[in-house]
Amino acid sequence: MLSPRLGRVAAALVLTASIAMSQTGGSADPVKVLLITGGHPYEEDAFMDVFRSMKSVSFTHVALGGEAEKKLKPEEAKKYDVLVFYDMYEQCAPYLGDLQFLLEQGKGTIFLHHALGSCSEDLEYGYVLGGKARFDSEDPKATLSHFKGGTSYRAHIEDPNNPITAGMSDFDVTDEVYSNYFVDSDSHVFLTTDNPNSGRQLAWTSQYKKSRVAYIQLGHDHVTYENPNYRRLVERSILWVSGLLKTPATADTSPGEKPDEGAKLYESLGCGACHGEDARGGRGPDLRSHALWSRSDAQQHVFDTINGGVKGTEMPSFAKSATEQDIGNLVSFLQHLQSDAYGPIGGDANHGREVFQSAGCAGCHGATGSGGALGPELAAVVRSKGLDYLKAAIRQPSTVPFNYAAVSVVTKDGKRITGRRCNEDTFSLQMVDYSGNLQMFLKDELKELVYEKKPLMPSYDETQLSPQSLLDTLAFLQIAFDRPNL
Amino acid sequence: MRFLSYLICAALLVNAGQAASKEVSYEEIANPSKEPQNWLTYSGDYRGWRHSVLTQLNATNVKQLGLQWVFNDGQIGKLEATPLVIDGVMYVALLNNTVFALDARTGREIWAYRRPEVLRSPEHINGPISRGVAALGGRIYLATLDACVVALDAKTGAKVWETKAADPNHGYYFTLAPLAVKDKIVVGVSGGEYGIRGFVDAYDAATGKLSWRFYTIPGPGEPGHESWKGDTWKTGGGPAWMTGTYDPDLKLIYWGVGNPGPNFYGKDRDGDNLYSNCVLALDADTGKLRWYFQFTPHDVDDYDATNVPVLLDANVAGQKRKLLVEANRNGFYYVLDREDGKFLLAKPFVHVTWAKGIDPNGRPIVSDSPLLVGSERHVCPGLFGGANWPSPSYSPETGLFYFTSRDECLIHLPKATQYMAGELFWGGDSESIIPDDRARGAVVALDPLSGELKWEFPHFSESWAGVLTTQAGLAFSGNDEGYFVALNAGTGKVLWRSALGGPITASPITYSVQGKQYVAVASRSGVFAFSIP
Repeated sequence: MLSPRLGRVAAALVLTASIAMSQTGGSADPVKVLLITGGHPYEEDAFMDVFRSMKSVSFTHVALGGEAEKKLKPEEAKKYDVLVFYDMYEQCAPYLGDLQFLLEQGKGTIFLHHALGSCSEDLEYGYVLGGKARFDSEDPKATLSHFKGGTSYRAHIEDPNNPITAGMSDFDVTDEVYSNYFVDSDSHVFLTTDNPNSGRQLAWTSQYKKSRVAYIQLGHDHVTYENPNYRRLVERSILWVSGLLKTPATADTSPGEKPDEGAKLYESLGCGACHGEDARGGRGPDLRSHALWSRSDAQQHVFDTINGGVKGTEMPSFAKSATEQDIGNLVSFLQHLQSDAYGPIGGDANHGREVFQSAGCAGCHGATGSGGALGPELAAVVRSKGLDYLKAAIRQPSTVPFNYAAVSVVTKDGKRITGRRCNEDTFSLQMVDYSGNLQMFLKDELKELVYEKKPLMPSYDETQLSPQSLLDTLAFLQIAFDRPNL
Repeated sequence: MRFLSYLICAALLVNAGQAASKEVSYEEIANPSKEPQNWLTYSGDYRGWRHSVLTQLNATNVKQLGLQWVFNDGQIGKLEATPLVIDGVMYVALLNNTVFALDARTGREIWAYRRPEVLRSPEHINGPISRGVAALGGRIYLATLDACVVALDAKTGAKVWETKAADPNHGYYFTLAPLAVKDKIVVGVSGGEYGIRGFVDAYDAATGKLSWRFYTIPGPGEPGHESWKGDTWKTGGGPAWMTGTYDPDLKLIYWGVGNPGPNFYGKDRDGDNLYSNCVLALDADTGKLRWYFQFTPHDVDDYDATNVPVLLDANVAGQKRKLLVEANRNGFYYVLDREDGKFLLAKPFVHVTWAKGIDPNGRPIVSDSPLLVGSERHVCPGLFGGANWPSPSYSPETGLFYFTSRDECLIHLPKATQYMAGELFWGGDSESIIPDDRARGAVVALDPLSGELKWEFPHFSESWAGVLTTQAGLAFSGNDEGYFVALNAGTGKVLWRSALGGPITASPITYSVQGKQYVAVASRSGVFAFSIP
């Protein structure tokens, strides 16, 4: 049975459902991958499972030393959309010319793990890959790269806007890592680690001639092969180099056709027990949050979460209690629920980030608006006073909170200090000076105390900050606000 | 460009009032006597002395101590925090995951951190308390009730990072003040009454990444695992809920471990139940166990060994030794060698019935059946112990060891209990032997080498206040009546008192700002600071 409350929501959703449905397309043919190995041992079966598990990929595996060289001939290579190299091979001369030709034609190419060390004597190969490692050399003075097995580290999504990692979060890996390798400055690094045993750059994309190229350092053995984040990285890299991955990524799963059915399911599966009757969250997270739905793969992510559960948490898998169609309906229901609750602001967050820096906001409020010595955490402002207040305050900071007023003092020994008032009473004053130092005075230590008329917060009129730039800035902040670490 | 013009008008300044821009270093924490004006870590130093070399306040002028300020953020409840003071700024954690930066001369708030309640925590049997924060670099560290460790910017209170240590829905939470050691933030988890598997964690102070974890209950294949029957280790408790101490020369962290779970019912967990009720010596860099000493093997009386382990060096039988001393919750005072954990001495300091004594290896000689009356276990001390978490103190000036004792017997009612994740897992109950019987508290001064009683200051009520001593011969403590007292550290005579409007369940500190010495302590009514005019 529908609860009366959800029933109303569901009824409203039916009206809008048809609009949403038209935005999702049908499924395409699988991307044809030529998978090339050679020169380095690996766990073949487990590695092939990575590719077997990919719904959007079909692949042919060949080894260097005969077969692969044949397949790289232009006539043969036409049959494949993407090349994936998982080799560490030095007899490169026989095929480098063909590879060059293919890259000039725009063949998307991926290099995995030890492929960074292939063709180590060929400089151009480094530009193909966007980076280079050299683990061995006859030249005793050569700078060598290092490797270290069984290293546990946290892989950090360096660029959340990269379509390959869109929607992914930082994840843990135990793998062989490399260090002391070269990364081309034109490569666009999207995955990093702080682990000192590894080079910082774990994965990057680059352009070589007309081709998109991606490199992923991860993937020594089955431990990583079986890591769903690794599989996802490889699959999405394949899609990206093949040109299929757009920004924002196209949804992989169409939501079900019937959000009202999803509403019923929300109740019958007992989702509300943890996520709240109205999905506002409780024991489990708020299912309407912008953080969730702003992911480019939101539909897929929510679908997967419901279908597979989340390991190590209380979120169970509903694969046995609901069909894929049911879960699709549920995703659709939730998606509509959120768009009613938190519509996206709609600006260009990337431009907003630039504006936030160039307009000077970051100087006081921190790089992501998380607060600094002189300016408050903007997420806290929105939490307590709402987005409209923030918008108005950017245009005209009419009401300055007590603890953000600008004050100047002159001490009895003649020193002048200006800054932000943190607190003040009849006998004392606490402030932060412009260097960010806390300064505390008893008033009888002061010769002068001046309340500055101008607030610390400048006003930004439309000539200084166009309506579009304001919107973009808010879009940037909206993403920043929803970051769990704020 | 507007911001730049602000910067230009900020000239280079020498402080006129009290300016704070200090970033606390490990070396400074390790050498507190070099800056006695500050209180940089929970116990005032790594040795757990809670002793200050400030001497402006002395036995003569202490009578003139007057209230300078009280701070309360409006939340009422038991406060257990030790404040830190860094160059005139006090950092204190109050109830429900709040941290405040205060002007230490006036008590005025500079910033507040209030943690949005992101997760439902289990009901906290001791209240939503915190015992304080740690400071390192330009940051303040809080261990939260929802089992996270949070780093805050010391100047603004803005969150720099946060790391979730465990699942609060399964009974894991933090109440302790973290300990900053070198570049790490060390914490121990609470939840011994929820059937947790306890641990001590060290986090990278810069990034919040876990550097090491030591599980206080060894898993399969680890030494000590055989001291648990079957799967009982999985719910074996062993919380580590009090701030430990550290020896920079030996590079060892000393950390107390609490009761095995379930607290009162031991039949299902035959064996010594390591490392419950132990003090652990852990390598500060790796978290590897160097040695352990178990005060109460196979405990059924909730005798957590979480009292602050105090580190002193002294001549024992003509030999200079590095010692660890502690008045344990089980009613015995212990002296150990802190290099290898060797047992040197144990002596009861309250009425003890659970053990007849301690054998030459440090193992208790447990009393037999008379304790059991039917299914009831009549035992002294009761579950709250002969001494509990309120801080002890050691004064090199008097050479005495100080702590708050409590004399109380209780009836424990053990009962088999089914473990349910996130539910209380006491394994029974407890009650008073005589309904109107009261626990008696006292400030006790012992000779630390012999455990001999030097003097005692009895409270009418029980006390959950720690002890602070100063180089000028003063000892400060308090009690449940709300009295904050200054005693002569040599004799125990009262020199001064003030009523703070609510039980004092915290440990005092002293600090100085611009040449004036203050004494501060929290009571239920807030944080109080005193000085002479």
